[in-house]
Amino acid sequence: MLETIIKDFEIFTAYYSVSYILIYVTLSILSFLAIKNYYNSKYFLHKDILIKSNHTLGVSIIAPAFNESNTIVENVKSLLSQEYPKFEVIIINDGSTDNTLEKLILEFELVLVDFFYQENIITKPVRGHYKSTDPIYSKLLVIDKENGKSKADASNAGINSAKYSLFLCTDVDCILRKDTVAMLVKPFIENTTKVIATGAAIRISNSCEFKDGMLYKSHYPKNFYARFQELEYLRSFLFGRMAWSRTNCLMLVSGGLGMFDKATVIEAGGYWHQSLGEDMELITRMRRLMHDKKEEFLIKYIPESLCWTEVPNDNIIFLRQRVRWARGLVQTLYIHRKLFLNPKYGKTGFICFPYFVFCEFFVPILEIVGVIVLSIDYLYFSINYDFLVIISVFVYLFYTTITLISIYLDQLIHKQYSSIKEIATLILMVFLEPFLYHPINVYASLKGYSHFLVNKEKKWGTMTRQGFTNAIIK
Amino acid sequence: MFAKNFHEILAFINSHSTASNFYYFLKIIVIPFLILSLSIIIISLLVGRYFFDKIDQEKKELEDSINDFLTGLIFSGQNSQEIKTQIDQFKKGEIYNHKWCQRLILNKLIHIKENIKDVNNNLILIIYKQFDLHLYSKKLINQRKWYFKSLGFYHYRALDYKIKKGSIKPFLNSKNKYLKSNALVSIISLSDEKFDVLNQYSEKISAADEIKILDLIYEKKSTIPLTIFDWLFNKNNSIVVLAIKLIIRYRETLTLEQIKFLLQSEDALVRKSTIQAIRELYIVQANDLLMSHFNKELTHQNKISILKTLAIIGNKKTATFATKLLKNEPRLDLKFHLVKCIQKIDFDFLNDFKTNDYEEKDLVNRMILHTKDPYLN
Repeated sequence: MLETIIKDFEIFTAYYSVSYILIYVTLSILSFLAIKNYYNSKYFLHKDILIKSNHTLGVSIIAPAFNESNTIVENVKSLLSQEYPKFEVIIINDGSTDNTLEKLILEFELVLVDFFYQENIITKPVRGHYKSTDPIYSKLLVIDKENGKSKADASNAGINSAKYSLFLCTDVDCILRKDTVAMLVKPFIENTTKVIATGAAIRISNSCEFKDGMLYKSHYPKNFYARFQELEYLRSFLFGRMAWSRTNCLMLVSGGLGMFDKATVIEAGGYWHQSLGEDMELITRMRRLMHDKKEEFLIKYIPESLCWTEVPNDNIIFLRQRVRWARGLVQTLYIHRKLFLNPKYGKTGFICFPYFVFCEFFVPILEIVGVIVLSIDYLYFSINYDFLVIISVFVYLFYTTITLISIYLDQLIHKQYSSIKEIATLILMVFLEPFLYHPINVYASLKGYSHFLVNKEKKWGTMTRQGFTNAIIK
Repeated sequence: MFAKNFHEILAFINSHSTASNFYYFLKIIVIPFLILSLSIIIISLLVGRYFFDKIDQEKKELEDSINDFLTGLIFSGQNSQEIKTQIDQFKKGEIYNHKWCQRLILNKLIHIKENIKDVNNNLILIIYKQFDLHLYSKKLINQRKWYFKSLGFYHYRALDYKIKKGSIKPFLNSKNKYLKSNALVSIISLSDEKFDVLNQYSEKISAADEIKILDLIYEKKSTIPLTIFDWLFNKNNSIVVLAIKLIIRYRETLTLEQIKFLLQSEDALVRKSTIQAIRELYIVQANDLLMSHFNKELTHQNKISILKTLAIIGNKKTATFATKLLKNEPRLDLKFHLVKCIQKIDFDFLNDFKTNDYEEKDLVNRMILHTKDPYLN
């Protein structure tokens, strides 16, 4: 009986692996085509034309802040330095317990204003809106609200206060390239089909050099966790999301950098504050809404590095983040299970959603079951070691090839990193990642799933930041 | 080694077991292929970066000398023969044979043309041709791929190489939207009668094209097309929208008949542009027309746009009209714009706003406070 189960599992795994590999080969081709197409048509509407045009779309930049007093002033100045003719910056002080708000008031000469707040999306009470008395900062609006225990609630307050039809959601600690708004707004103007969201690549800032709130020199991170996360980000943004963008199957636009059509977001109900993966959940809900309304839509990704963010660089914070992401994934898939293979939801129901179920959610489970089955084989049955070695080598090589292709694409486009030595280190990390980093991720995913199953109390925790001003500017 | 592999391949082909086939397939074909691919990628990454750094350094050094050379040519006041001789001399240098060197010169030339005011365009074209860069642009246009063609168009457009307008015209009928758009913008840019091409243009002009065309007008400081008012009656709604935007740009005006006609359009974008034109051109005579159109308007966004316009051109009558609407308007954002409109026309008009509904009173008061706040308006 046990032998039959194990044999069946092995056969299933073999078919699953072949399908998985084929999916990834397809994704790599699609990704390459998407990147090629993007660069070929990059100058269809040159960003410089948008930057000086009076006829472009207005954008509200929304950035929630919770206890960010160390970096808030520099970060707000960085956000305000966007090169775009029509934008505003909305900072939401989400009930900070430190002096974030006081610092903002002092630095930007803020005063309380009689803002008429329309609560299109329900949020925790807003205490007040602040504007600067200095005309230089006329584009800045600060919202002070009660803490909603989620970034989603703060973002929703920002959306409610936004005056433009598009909004860009980011984290206050993110450093944006000066043309981020112009680059992200382009797909909204260029396409005749309605675009509901756009996104771009996020890079890791942990070891980068910044000057006047802008990236000066990019370096490969030195920290263990940051190094592997850099690989992961490259793979995810250049490889996966570009391919999904080409097929209009994107189900995730990062919370750190995404531009959205405000009306569609409000109609979809805004960010869900109970979600632990609010960015993916929102996109899923927006897709669902558009399918329900039977309206054509696009979600576009561009292969530009527009945003730099600090990632966790210690074990505890890293694990906490990954557990939350895993829980967010399973939560979103569970809530929107109606989409799964439902013809009414077209590509979302038949391609994106099943992909997330089979190729994202299932993988950690299969990996751990695989280890158990291998142990049983070792203890009670026999193992064909030749076959085991060959298949393991194959999987390892395939995995590293995929990552290396992402790095190759990145180097082809961005020429990131300041020296050849850093690229050599990056390549070395590709070969170590499956042994050193991947198991930690699998552990975090399984922990996240178990937390979802037992409905463990949600905790966001705080991210300790090195900040850009103190440590990085050289 | 080869023989051994050959035997393994044969063994693989002759084998009947699926698992065994798979094993040999991985061992003999897939794994060596992956190892080879990995090696190629790693070598390409390292070697590519090494050469990039090296060429980048060379390019930086060369860029300075090209800058000096071109600036000397353009601003030294030499005659065309002297310029030609100097260029021929430069072309004999070894570095000129690099393709990237020619591209660099072309880009520098375009940069100078776009960024330096009142630069002699004939001189730029002489340099462009003497360097044989016009042959490079032509070669790009003759390529099969649309993006090379578009790059060629861009060279002609940026350098105002009007003589080549004819070679772009056939691409106005291209099925590729990018190529067609680039051809349209280039022809408008290169024609003396800038907008004649639009008279018979039946395709939809996208928002991106509209922005590009309007940018061209700013750049080239061209005159308004003579037939602009005929365009308002064009069957192609995107031409109508463009015409309205051009009328705004050139500070012309619209008659009440024209406004009436345009507001009856089925296209919401035409109506929106018309409402915007009334605002931008400050056509106060259209006040009554807009008020009567308000209830007929189908889209929410256009209603808001009407209120923004009425706030600029309106009078006491408009304020009374808006106050009547205010009491029965359930939508919050529309209500807010009604208040804004009234406040902008008469700051004290709503001082004696009366209602028995306390919540309504409070709501309107909050809206009034917003409109009165100096930092919010």
